[in-house]
Amino acid sequence: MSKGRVIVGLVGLITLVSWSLSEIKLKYPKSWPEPVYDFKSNPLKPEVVSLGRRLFYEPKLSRDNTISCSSCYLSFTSFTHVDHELSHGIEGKIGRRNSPVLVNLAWQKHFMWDGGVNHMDVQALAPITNPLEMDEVLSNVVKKLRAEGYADQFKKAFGDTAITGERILKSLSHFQLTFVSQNSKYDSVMVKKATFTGQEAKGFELFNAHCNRCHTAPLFTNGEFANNGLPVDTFLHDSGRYEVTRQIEDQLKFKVPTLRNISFSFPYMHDGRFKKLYQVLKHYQSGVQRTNNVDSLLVEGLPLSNNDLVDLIAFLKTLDDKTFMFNENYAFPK
Amino acid sequence: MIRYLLVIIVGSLFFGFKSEKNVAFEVRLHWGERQIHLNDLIMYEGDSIQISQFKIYLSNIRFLNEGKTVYKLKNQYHLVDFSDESTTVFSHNIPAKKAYDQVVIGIGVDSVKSVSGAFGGDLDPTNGMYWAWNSGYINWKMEGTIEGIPTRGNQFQCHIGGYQGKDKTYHDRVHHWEGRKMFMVINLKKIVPVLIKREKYEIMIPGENAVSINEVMIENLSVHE
Repeated sequence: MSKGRVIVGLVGLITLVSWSLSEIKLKYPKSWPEPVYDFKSNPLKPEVVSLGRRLFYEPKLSRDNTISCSSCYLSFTSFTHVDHELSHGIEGKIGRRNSPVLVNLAWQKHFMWDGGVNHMDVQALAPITNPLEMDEVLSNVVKKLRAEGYADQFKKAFGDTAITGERILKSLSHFQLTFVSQNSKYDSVMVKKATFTGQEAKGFELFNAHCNRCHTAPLFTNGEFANNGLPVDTFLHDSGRYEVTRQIEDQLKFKVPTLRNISFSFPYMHDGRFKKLYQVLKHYQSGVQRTNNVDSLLVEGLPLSNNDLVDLIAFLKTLDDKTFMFNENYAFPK
Repeated sequence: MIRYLLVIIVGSLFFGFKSEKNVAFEVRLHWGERQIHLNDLIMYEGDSIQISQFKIYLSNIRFLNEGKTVYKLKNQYHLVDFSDESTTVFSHNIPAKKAYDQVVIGIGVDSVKSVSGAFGGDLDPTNGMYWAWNSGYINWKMEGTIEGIPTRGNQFQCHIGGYQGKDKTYHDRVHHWEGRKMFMVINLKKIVPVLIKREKYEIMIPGENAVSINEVMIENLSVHE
């Protein structure tokens, strides 16, 4: 064997080893379930995540180059559009639904309020092409990024300068998959590094009795769809999951959202109709509409006193994770 | 000397005895017996018809002998786009020494691929064959104009897909194969009039209408050598 071949072989081996060592591994408590996202087939690479971060803040993704993903998903408000009932799009257009928080996406199997998107790697296509959001065509985004001088960054991330739809979508996905919130007071209590106050403990007990079946810990969602008995908004006429499956039993069902960082992600519900957590809980206590497929736990309303609601809110606030919201790795890339 | 002999023996084991056969495929649009191209003017019962776009996925091509798969092309998804003639003809090398008597050609994109995220090449979402709001590939797409139909600019659009349960539109076409070039012919004369008869000029989502017109397309897609 010639010296040249040995050198080539060694360089190849070193590259392979350094490539695999540079993988980003998500940090989360041992008690959590395994992520749904297949990291074995699609490991997170720092260069891809870094490109995704840049694209997340890139207004060229929208037709008139005015809004980026971050316009509706601000890192310091748990990646949602705080104080906006419905998402905004280009040219002042207003969408049909409230932007959900982008938290712990690696554990989600369905995306969007109606679950219309079946994989994290294709999720970004929905807002990019929605006429009420970015209203752009993916092939045009490719052209714009090419003109904007992104080729080098794609080379760093993927090994060559080709800018493709697949690479744009995967980069955006991989950046967002790093959004893991697991450092709330609740998490500290679970590993006995903190204790609940009396009121929080009472709220936790109530939560386990009445809320945990759908908002299941530790992710605080079971990832399923439910009709939670909201009266239909006669302006939006949003039938939720039914619009995707066209199955009558899915009428008015929406994805159960996570409750992590809930106090920062107001307003609430798929259409942002409630500004305060107290209003949300009041709805579950006494405002549920008894339609055919309303969730069985909610049919009679939750048996909670007004004092119970206050205790529940005290517990829900323990799900806030400030280290997540002020994580510099998620902020606008400098 | 022995070293060179060894290289030759090992080399022939890997390459020398591996003879391959090239199999060619060509896809054509027809109006009855006549081959047509995009934007040809077609007269049908006194009205003019033009097909402005036709794209279709062909995938999972495999070669069988006596009912058993002998060779399968791995990860091959062909987007045949009639606005780019080069995509209507493609070929693959398959092992020559094996015996084959059937070819199976998948029409559309299978459900596994439809739930597995973003892909490049012919499957790249920039090709306009992927639904954003309800994930999944558009298996085939036909657009054009039919004189006199009550739509904006007399336009009709069929975006046919769906991979779940009764909405499934992927289909495996089995063809008895003599080993020659294969021609796949889609006879639009049997498809477009069905849209007119049913007054279905915009089929853009998975469901009953998509499944039904997909069945008509499959019936009128023939494979010849």
